[in-house]
Amino acid sequence: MPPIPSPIVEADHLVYEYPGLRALDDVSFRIGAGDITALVGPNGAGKTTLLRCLAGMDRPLSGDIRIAGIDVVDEPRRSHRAVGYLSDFFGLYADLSVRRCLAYVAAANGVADDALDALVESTAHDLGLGARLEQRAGELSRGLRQRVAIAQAVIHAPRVILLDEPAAGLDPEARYQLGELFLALRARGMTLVISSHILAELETYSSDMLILRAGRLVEHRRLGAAPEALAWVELHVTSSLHAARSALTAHTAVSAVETDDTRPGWLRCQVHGDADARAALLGELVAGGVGVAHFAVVREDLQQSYLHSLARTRDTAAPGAGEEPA
Amino acid sequence: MNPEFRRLLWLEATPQRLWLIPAALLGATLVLDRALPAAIPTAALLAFAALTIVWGARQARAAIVDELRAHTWDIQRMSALSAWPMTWGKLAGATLMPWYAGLVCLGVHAVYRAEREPAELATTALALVFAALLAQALALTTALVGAPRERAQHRRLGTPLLLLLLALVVPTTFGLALPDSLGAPPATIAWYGWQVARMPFLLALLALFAGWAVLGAYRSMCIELQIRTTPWAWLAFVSFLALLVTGLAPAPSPPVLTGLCSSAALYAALLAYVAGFAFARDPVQYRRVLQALAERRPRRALEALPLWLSTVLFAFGLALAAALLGADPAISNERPDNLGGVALAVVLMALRDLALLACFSFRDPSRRAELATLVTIAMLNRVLPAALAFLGFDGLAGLVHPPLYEAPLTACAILLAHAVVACVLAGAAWRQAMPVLNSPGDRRS
Repeated sequence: MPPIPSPIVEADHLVYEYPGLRALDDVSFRIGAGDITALVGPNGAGKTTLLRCLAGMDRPLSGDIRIAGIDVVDEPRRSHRAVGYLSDFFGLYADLSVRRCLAYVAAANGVADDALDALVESTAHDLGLGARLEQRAGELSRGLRQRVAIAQAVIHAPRVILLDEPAAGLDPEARYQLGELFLALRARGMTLVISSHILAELETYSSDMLILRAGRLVEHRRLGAAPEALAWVELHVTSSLHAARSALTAHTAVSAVETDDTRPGWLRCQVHGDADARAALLGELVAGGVGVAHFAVVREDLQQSYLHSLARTRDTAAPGAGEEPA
Repeated sequence: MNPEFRRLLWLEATPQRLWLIPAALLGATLVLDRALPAAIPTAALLAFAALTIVWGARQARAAIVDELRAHTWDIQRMSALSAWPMTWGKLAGATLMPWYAGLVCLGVHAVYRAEREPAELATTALALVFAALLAQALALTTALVGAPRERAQHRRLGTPLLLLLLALVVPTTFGLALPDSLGAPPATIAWYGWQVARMPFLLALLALFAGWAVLGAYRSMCIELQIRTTPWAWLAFVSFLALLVTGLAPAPSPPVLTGLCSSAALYAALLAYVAGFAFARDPVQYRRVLQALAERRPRRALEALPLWLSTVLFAFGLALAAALLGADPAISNERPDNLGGVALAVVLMALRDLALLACFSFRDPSRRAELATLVTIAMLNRVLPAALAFLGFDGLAGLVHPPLYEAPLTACAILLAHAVVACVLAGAAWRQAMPVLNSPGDRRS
């Protein structure tokens, strides 16, 4: 990940422990303003713990967190004006109307009384809750409750929004609308960090991916930037597959080679370098007697990228570490 | 308006309640007026106490516990409201209806006891109001103190403690509110040799304790909202208690400082037990202390220090000061050695017991740790010494439970050895619960 000139979220050497478990182990990263960062990792990787530390809900054992220039560890209450957080197990005030739920959270986050009504109306409108303002929160469907919870997290116009599994339990249409909402929030200048297991949907709106495994930061990179420097190339060879594989494995620009058992003659390899490097590789293969019928860069989707990152680190990290207590 | 107070106002002060409550209470008054009119003033006071102290305390506690169960507490913890508005917003908002109903009862009492002196009526009303505030603030405090354990273990906590506190508050209040029922108490109270009028003194005490309870709720709220705190308020309360009770001793005589230090040490030891059993015993907290010390940040270490430990350290300092200052003549007839020595022995005993509690908690975080500690304390202080004495091993019995008053300094030496053993055991249990985690391979699965 290249340096971010003006990060809005800065985490340095975060360590968080539960008895006998290190949930976060020396985690450091920067997130730029206006980014949507997908926070992914296996169950128990430390995603929820990381979000709660960023939100100032839990205090790390050591390390520093700054959001919008505010030291979250030292001044959690002050940082809350700049941060919105949606917990994975959120609750709503079931006996209050949606209007009062939103008005309460806005006022508790420092919005002046005379600005409350207009803000509640506009936020409800933005989140498609305009017609539900007088309805009790406890009477809403799961999808609408999720919207109210997100509205509560964003009503005070925080600069950073942290969302823990926001799409959990939503139907496909509601999940699509949620993605649209995140893009709209980003367009309003907000920075989002979203933890989710639904990678296909994260891909539609995320600009960055942050992978945690066993409490450690495995990878943090900008999505869509990788193919230029490190691309997956798909080949269809008409000559000996074994010879083609050997040639690829021996090549210095190639870091991984995979065969596709379902498609005879097809190979995938990971190539370092730009388009010239890939052209050189193709030339060398052909010159070496490998018959190449197809040679194309495959854009790696978030799911593949995530799985490859995990595979690269699987050998170095012990399983089970970093899991949060049930 | 305070957003938390307004939210509770929306929830609690519904139009139905606003007319139903006075209607029900006035209806009951009319019924009683026909059957037993003489009982109405007392019944009104009892109803006030039941409504504001019992119902009010329950409501104040629910202001936290219900939020935890509905998963809405995170919304409040994520807000920018600081600890004080959150505290008073909850305390006043959650108890709105008990106060509303209680005021109706006080009105009924005033109407039916119109012949009472206004000053007497005011004293009664103030005593009840302070007692209710005390009970409600204590209930809020116990809910906040129990919140980490409620979150971690989904256990209903604080109820026994709350009931115990109510059991203390209610009779005391009625001692003030209904003095006639207690016979003829002395008109004055001696405090550091001064004769102070009884009722104003007790009323002031109740007001002070209510103030301390509100401060306790505020400080507990700070902890819950992740605001960094040092234990000054708790230690100030210990000092206040010592200052108050030392002055009430039958014949306090110089040196007052020794009496104060030893008394404060004893109260600090007692409150260390309260802190040890009431607060969550998270082994990670000790790692925070060590981490802060390693980083040479003493303030951070003090902030992370478990309250029972800081209280024991405070008590130890006071007891040591009392022991060094010399014997206290006021009690020398009964206790041959100095009172400071006795206080030191008690503090060491508290350190031993609470280190054992920590040890059991690190091994088993469930409530069984508390039971195991209580059984061990009973074994060490009662069962084992009695059994050994019965078998004729008096010397050995003295090593298990040394007599504190006959020879406090010998008791100090023996209890110091006990405390060291308990601390070593607690340290070993802590190391087992919190292994050094340098790399993923070192971690427990």
